[in-house]
Amino acid sequence: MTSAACPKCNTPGEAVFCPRCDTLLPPRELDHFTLLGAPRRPWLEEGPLKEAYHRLSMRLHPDHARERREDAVVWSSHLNKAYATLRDPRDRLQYLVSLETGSNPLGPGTAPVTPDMMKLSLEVQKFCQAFDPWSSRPPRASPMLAAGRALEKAEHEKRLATLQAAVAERRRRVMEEIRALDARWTTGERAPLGKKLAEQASWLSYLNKFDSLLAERLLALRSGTPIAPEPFH
Amino acid sequence: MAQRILGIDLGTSNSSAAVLRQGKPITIPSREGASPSGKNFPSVIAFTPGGLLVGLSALRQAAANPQGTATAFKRKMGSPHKYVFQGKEYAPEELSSILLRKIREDAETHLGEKVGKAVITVPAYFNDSQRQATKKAGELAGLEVVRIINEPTAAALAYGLDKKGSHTVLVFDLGGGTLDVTLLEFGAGVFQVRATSGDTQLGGTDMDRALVDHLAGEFQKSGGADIRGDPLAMAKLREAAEQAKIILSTETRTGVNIPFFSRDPQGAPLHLKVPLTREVMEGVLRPIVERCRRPLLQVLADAKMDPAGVESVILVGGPTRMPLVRRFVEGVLGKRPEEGIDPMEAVAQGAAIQGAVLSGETGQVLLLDVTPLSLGIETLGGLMNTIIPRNTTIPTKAGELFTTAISGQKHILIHVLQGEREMVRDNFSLGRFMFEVEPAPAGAHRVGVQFTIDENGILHVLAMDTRTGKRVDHTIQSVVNIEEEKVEKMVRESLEHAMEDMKARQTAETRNELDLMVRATETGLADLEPRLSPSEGETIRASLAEARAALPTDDYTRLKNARERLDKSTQNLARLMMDEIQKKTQGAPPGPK
Repeated sequence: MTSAACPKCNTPGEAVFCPRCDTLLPPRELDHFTLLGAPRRPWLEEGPLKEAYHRLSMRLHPDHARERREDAVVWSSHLNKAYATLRDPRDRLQYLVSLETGSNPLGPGTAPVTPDMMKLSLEVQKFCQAFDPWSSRPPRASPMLAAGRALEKAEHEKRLATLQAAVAERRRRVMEEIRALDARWTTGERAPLGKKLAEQASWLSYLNKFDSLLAERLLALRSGTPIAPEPFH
Repeated sequence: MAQRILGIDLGTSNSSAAVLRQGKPITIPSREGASPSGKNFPSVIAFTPGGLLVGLSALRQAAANPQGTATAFKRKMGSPHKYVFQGKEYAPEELSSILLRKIREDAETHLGEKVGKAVITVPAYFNDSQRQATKKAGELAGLEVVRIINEPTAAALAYGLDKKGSHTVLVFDLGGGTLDVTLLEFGAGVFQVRATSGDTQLGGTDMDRALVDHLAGEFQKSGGADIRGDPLAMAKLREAAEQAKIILSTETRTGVNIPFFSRDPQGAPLHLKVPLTREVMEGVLRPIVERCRRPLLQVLADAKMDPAGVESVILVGGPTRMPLVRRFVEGVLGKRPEEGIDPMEAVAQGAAIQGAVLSGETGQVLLLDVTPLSLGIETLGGLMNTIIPRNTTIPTKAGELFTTAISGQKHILIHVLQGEREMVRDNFSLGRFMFEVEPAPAGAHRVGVQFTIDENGILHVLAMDTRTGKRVDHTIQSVVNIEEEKVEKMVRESLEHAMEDMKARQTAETRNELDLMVRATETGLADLEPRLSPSEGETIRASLAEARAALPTDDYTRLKNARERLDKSTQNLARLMMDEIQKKTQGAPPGPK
């Protein structure tokens, strides 16, 4: 039920605006790709996506579409959600797979964990377990203690940089894989790719988690503040 | 033409207003002229026997009448705090409304027309009740507040108004009372906030307080009395300290001189004369500036961006005129802040631009802001379940399904929360309402809770029973329930609990420290022993031996003594090591890779 009649000229339309008179059509649940006018595929370039988002925002936001405010609030909520989803590779893949297969994929834990991912995960965990109690230890006045802490801080910083580099490298490989799958996707071979794409989305979920754990600790290290309790999502 | 909408920057120390005229923001002058700080309306109200004074005239008499002068009331917005002047109680928003009324009247005089609508700015990190209080202050002043926007976003609007192409900007907004850091992207007229962070209790006022405390200490050291309990002397000192702070932004030294500053116990007049260099002042203020580091790095982490991705840095707010603050921001981001932004006027100008968008005067600009704090509801076990995470672009809509937890349950309490913490009690409560359901076995009901945040940032909560289709619509009104004392008490109590098993912890902690010191000393000796005198090396070795012997024991006193001895003998070595560490780490620019 994605088509609607134009409130002005009654022409039926499939998208956001009337194909005949360009009037804003009543809000419907369009899929994110259709809404943003983006091709339905695993890989999207950031630039054109952002341009489309800006262009549509200018017309759909209630500050501009004042005479159709209620509709505009609904449309721009959809639009914001669509853009937030499609600009993030992990969210985009998950969304694409659920759109194609009708099934809901798949965060971390669904794809079988490969040894390299397991190793990375253990290393990140080990680092956090060592780092967190260290980070919340109160500062002391003794100069040698301070010097000792500074030495440990340098060690932590080095370890953190190594881990971040490892995560970045793994991410680069996932991205490469997604591009390769995208090439196959566009030649028409879609159905068998769903599982592979879901798998990449699952890797990205892990990597995002590692990145946020490490970023949080880098923040604590650089700002000299103890690690904050993790926000609950 | 549609009615003009006034843009107002309602600041902690100073306020400002602007309108858009022929596409350019024009600042509204006050009847009294510009204040020494640069903004036109000092956020000061005085209750005098002769009547009410607002703005510059209130500021001028503040030192002589500290008891009758209201300042920094923005910091209490949205709290139940009450001020008392001349026997009458005032809520913070009532004081703000007095200031807003003055701004509105001066704007009407200047523009020669009625002003009925305004866009008012608030710190990005203001929570819902602080925003509602601001809105109420506007209404009390006879202004329809058509939008509350965030200060740093407003500054970015003013900056980006005539820029072409797309751009990533970081706004560092350190005002009198609050710090906001916001990262935005703009392109084709659209300003999209990517992430925002800050500290609602950090600003120039904290710097002034530290400086006043330092000066009072210096005065006492030079033989003067302790004047910290003397409100009149403290008010004079505060004024002089602020002056000195401003002078030291351009000069490297000044003196703080206040003749007839106070009286000694015999009643003889005391003069204050304290020299102050920029270097000394920076030493006093550095710990406060250092507190800006975390929010700055947080914003980059939230936007998953490294400092190199930031194309321009904009500084807003009085304290950012200090070289210390500029150097700090440049050091963290590795980028020189933009020149040519008026740090005092940019926020009001941005508010005026948004005003022009909302009045329909301009269609070239669109501001896409985010929710600065996560929103969610309470679930079983006192946990907060986030429905809309922070930094989500608004308008937005999101929902989740919940089930009943107890058989025969007749109501579901929907408790709406704002904040980043896991436990309900650590977050702000925005309100609660009951949703009635037919009694049924646990888990039988599925209740959908949907949050919608509209373009005004107002949260609508919709609860729906998926079985019966019954719906309850709830718009969150202002709920004032952040009592600072309560929060402080909670923090204190949690600290006290942590102290309970002190004894065992002390021993363990001392051992840990000693262990760390032993390892650090070993490293230090290996690298730097040639730079120590032979006798010093020997003393260190002796205390090191005793420390190693003490480590395996559970003897608290022995561990402690060993730590003290090692500490004493390694003072010089530790200093040498710190120098080396600093030398090594310098040059590597900070920030995530």
